[in-house]
Amino acid sequence: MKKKTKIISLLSVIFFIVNFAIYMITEINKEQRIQIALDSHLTKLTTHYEVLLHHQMVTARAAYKSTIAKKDVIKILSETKNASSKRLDVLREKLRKSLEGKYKILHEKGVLQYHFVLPNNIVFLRMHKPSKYGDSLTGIRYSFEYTNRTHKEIHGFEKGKTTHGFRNVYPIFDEKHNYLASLDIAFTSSFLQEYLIDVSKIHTHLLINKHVFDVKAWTRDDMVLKYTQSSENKDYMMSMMHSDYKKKHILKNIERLKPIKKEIYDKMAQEKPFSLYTFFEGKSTVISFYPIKNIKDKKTVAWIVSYDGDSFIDATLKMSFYTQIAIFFILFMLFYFMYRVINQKEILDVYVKKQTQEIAKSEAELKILNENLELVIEKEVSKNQEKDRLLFQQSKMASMGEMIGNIAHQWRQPIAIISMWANNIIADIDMEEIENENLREYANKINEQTIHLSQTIDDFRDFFSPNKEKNSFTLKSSVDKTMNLLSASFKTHNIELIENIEDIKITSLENELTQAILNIVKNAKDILITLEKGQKRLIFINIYKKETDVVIEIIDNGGGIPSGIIDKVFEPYFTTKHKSQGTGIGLYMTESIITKHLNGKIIVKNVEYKYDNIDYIGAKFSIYLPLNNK
Amino acid sequence: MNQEIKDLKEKVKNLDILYCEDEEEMRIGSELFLNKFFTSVDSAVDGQDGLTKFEEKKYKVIFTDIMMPNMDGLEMLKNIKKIDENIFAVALTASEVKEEEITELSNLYFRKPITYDNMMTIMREIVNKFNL
Repeated sequence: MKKKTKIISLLSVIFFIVNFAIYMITEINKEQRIQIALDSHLTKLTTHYEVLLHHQMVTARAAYKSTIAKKDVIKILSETKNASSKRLDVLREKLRKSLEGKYKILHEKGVLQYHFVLPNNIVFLRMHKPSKYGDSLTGIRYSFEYTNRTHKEIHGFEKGKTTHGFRNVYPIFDEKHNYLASLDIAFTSSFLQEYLIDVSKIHTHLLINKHVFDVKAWTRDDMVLKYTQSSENKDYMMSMMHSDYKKKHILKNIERLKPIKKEIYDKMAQEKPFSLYTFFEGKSTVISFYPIKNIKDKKTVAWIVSYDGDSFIDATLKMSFYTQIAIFFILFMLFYFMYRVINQKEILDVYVKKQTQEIAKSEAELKILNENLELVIEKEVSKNQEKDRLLFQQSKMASMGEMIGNIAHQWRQPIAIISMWANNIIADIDMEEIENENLREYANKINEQTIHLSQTIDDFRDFFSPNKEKNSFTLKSSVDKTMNLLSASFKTHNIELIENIEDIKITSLENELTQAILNIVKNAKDILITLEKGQKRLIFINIYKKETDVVIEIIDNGGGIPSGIIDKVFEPYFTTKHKSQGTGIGLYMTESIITKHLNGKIIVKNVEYKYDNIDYIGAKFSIYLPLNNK
Repeated sequence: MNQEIKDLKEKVKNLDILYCEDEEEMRIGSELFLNKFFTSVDSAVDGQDGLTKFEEKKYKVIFTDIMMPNMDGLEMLKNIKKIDENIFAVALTASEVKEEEITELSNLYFRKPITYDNMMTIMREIVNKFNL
């Protein structure tokens, strides 16, 4: 988890750095493109403004030339020298009439002032306002003072008593080159603005510096132009071209310019043309500023400001915005993908590590298991051996129980015989017919029987005595001994034993073998006694050599073992008998004695055979023992 | 010998006796024993032999072992009773087997061997049976 957090923070940092770098690149690119657009706007404004100014100057010069070419104008002005005020009034009227038609034409060309001033700076005639004259412009109109003093022409922006304007002041001389007066042919800024709108399709504001111009003086009704506080700069008033123009765009424009206000102030302070743009209400606007210099000290006193929409900037802004968004998302996806890949790898690494650990653990466990396995096997083997030993013990106990039954059976007859001889003695005594010879005979008969009893005991004791040492014995004697134990039982149950035994001597564990044979024979006897009365009950014991083995066959005529259970007869605790009769371990013990203790094998199958011309079916157990049993 | 036995012996000694026993030693000894009470005692080695002997000579009293080869004592008694219902049968057993059948087929039964005291009972019952 700690590592994961580390990866996330590292990737995030890289993501933001890359994103920022790309953002900056696109921003710079955007600014460069916009700057080109801005420059073109500024160039456009500058060009149109300068062309217009030049055109105005040309117009003014042409008007000046044509004015001084008129002889009556020169004559009238010549007469103004030393003329009385009455005379001046006459001359003024004369001049006005002479120039009335000309002024009309000039007015059409944008000229407002067509203005004659005498060398002493006293106004002689204002063509645009003939009723007002005789006032001194000293200290008010620098351009007139300059021309009157130097007799040279001057051009530039200058305020006036009624309005500001683009001044063109020329000196007027007579034929003898005597200085007569100065002439101002001036254009208003509104003419300039109208021209820009009509011809250049540029909407403009004209800004006038409050501190340079005596604005208050201009609030009079006779002012040609009205002013209002500009939206661009609080130090400037805006000239209003028309009355309906008033405040139309001012408030909205203040909003629009708010983000770039400081920039505007800074750049205006530099007094150089500049262009900038603002984005407002889904549209970009390019605002270009062109400074207008004062005629006297060449200081910037006004600005012509153009407003122009620009679809290129709109597109650029939009494009860079979408590009940045797109790049952001692409980068985000990329980094997320990287995170996933790294994380996957991390998870995989963890998984592999875990798996490796688990494998190592498993190996260790396996090793321990291996180490323990031998022990476990040993334990299991000894457990098995113990189990076998117990089974063997159980089997032996069962056999013993059976044998005690056999002993009882075996003894009953001799005991009865002994008792019978004893009764003979008693009868002789009671009948007073005692003869010594008879008594001796009876006693001898009794002794014979006791020998028989004693022999039976010996046989059984031998049978059950532990016999782990191999000894040599003939199979015939071994089988006889076994059958002797059962003879009484066989007789009782009418079982016929048919032996066909070769004289073979082997070295083996005799008691084990006899027990194995006994178990099989007992099993045969148990099935035979269930046969109907009158049926023959047969047990065959055949012993013969076959190659290196000796074969002991025990065959009965009990009808055979049902095919469904013939494979199970050697399994422990398998029995077909009632619980009181069998333990189910007799044949299992037989099989284990033969295979484990005697190194032999035992097989069972059902056989059909003929005996005394009668057909029988029965089970056949075949024991194979190696002749050279080591 | 007390008087009662002597009297009983006198009453039964002339009856023909058949004794069946497959075990030779037992047969010889028991035959000897029975001869102390009866004058005429014949013996048979198994049930089959006994039946054959009965068919030849109508014995009144039969002593028989139960477990015998070829034909056992009960089988033999069944066959004899088909010939003569009115016999006196004494069953002698080595063990308590088929007790019900034995009681049905025999007048008396005892564990082998037959004793001197058993003989008193047997003789009394024979006297009763045949009104001797």
